[in-house]
Amino acid sequence: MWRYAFRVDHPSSAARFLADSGRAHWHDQAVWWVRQKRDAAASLVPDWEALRDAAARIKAHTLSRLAGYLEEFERNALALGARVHWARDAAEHNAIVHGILAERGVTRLVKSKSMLTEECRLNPYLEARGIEVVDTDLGERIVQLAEEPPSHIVMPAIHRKKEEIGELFHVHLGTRRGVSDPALLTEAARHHLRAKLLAAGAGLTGVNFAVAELGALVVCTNEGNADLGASLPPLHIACMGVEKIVPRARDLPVFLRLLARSATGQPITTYTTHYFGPQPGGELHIVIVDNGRSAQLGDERLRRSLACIRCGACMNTCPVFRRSGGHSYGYTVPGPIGSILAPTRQPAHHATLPFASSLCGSCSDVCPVRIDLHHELLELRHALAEKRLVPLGKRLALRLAAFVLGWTGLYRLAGWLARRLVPRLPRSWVYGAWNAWGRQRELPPMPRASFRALYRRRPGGRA
Amino acid sequence: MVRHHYRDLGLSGPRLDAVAGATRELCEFLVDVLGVTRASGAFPHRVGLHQSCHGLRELRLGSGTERRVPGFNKVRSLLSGLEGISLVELARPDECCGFGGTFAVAEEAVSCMMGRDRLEDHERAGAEIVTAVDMSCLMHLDGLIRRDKRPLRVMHVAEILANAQH
Amino acid sequence: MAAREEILAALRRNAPAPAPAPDLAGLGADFPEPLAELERSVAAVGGQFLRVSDRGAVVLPPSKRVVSLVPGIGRSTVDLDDVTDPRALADLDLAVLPGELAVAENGAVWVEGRRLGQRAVFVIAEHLVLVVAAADVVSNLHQAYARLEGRRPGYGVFISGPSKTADIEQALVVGAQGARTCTVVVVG
Repeated sequence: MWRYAFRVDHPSSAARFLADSGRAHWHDQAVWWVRQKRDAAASLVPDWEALRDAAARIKAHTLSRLAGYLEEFERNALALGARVHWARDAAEHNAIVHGILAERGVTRLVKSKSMLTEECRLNPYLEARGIEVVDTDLGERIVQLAEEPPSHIVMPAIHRKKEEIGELFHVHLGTRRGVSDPALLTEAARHHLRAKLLAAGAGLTGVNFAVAELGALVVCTNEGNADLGASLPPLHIACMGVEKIVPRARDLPVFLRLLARSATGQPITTYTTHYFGPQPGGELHIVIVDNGRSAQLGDERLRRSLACIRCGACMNTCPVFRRSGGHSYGYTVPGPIGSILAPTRQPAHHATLPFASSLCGSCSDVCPVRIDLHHELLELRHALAEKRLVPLGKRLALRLAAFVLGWTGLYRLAGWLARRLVPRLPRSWVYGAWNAWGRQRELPPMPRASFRALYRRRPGGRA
Repeated sequence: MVRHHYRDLGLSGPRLDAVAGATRELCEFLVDVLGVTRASGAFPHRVGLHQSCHGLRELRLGSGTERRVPGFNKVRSLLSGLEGISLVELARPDECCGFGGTFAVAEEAVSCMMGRDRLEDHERAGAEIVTAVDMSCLMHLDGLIRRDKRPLRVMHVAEILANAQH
Repeated sequence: MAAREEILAALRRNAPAPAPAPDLAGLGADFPEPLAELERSVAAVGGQFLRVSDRGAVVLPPSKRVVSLVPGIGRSTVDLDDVTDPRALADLDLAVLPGELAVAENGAVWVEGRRLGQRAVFVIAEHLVLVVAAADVVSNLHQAYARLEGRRPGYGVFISGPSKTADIEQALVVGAQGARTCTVVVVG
């Protein structure tokens, strides 16, 4: 089973990914296309920016009263017949879920998309205790069969070509070798997953929104597997982070009008299911999870990213994500938002992520809840530098640069030396292995004179 | 930078306020302060406008392709006033060039792929000259152009505007 | 419960300064012809649209196993009241369900229910027919939720078109794990 035990070196992972130039361009174009679909959908919504504004404010308001709203949610959910559990961290979450299943003798669980359960590494925990876990989203099932993590929070298998999926299905589902037509593969998966859904003792779903005033859960999906998983077996487990709360039903349309359009360019997902308690004769268990979120709430530089509704728009627009692939981030959530969440949880482990960005700001402009993603990435860089988690070479180079830039005389001398020496040095010296800039680029041509000297020489110019 | 980020560096006070309040990027100065929305002069060339990220998304020199706001672009409108100029149509009008700062060196592989992709776009669109308001974008793109020997050259918007006067 | 108290205490301790909830008035576009927009939206999400003056005009494809909860359209071969295990609905061909309202901006129909098995019906049937009155077509989701205010069904779902996925190389495949077709019938 895959593990993120090693320190994530994004530059190296990225370089490996894009060394296959054809594949990297294919991935880049495929994900860019989703950004374009988002643009087309947003252009049909005249109040798009007003919606983003409202969404940001609802989240800010909710985060300022989160405990109160969670209590209200719990009260109303209990009144509807649901059971509510609380987990401080991933270990408690996993133990609670396992406990619910074990108590009822359930050995077969079907799961639909939940980034939270990925974050808590629920699958390996349950499998080690004798429970078969089947991820029923097509994309999640593909990566589950391939024994690798998802590379995108909305399109888990976006990094996989259809021929590779065909081969995977030939091995695991018995499709004919060489079949790669998406419709045929999807049909094969439909039958395979339907059998799993019918045989399951319990279904687990994530939660997109938990409505405090109703005690209801809202789950947004396209395929139908989440709804089947929540209604065929008698036991439904729903896992949610504390930040999934929205105060009132009338807040929902603000998010629902933004979510699918931002994620895939659809006006809404096929199913937007509202669960008001368990089905007759069934059980609904809601597991509310903290796992670092309350701590993040306390950090004013990073709390805005708790507003994230997991749409994936930021990673679709990110020029770095598209060219390095989700796996290079080494975290369940990649891209810009992942580059904030991951180092917030484990700073040393993910210290390269906030630097895996040119800070272009495109992510912030597509974020439906107006998280200032690129500014938060910059804040995280400061935080990591304070903790001395920036590589020594970089720290020394920047300290030297600050020294030279801070001493006018030295700065002018350095410029003069560069202008005199660089053009005279042999090319192999200038473009040696030490020159990272020069690996694929020429240095800018050294000017003959500094700007100050040119300015002084102008008629009437003065320094 | 001065207007948006100097305070983050711990600087403050009336002198910073005065300087920050008076600092403008060239095109926004021409358009917002001098009221020149379209430049005059001649520049009969095919020009690709690279929308530098800081200028576009921090200084809001243009509306950008992400947001649903009334379209505007100060740099483009200035340049489009030049006689004979042909501003080419890019496939991705405001994707980042990949310079970023230390990113250009720390994530060198991604940085160069991003830069090359921009240059491919400009070449395919038929540009002779790539222009931008940000010198660092141009330095990075120029470095790639000269290494790859692409049939392009870079000029800062100021150079084009000055050149057009002669 | 230690975990509950600790989490709530941490959230209170770390709460930022109070921020007011925004005023949501003025959001959402009003279409001059909601029915025409609904037809466009339903097609855009891969569904079929049918406008009839009365229920009797609806002709359904022949199907072996049917659940119809709409009097006058189709006849159930399975009585939901007899269903004790939703899995028994596994090979349901057609489900005809009443919608409380339909939303023009996204082609979605609100369907709700409480009975056992009903929750599975809308997603397990191979083909779906959703029936809604013309007077119940609203322009946008804000209006939809305003209409649904105060309702407390066992479950409620906005269904927009047939089930679909694009997980394999972004190729859109209709009929993923739920309904393969979805027809919205507007009566009146």
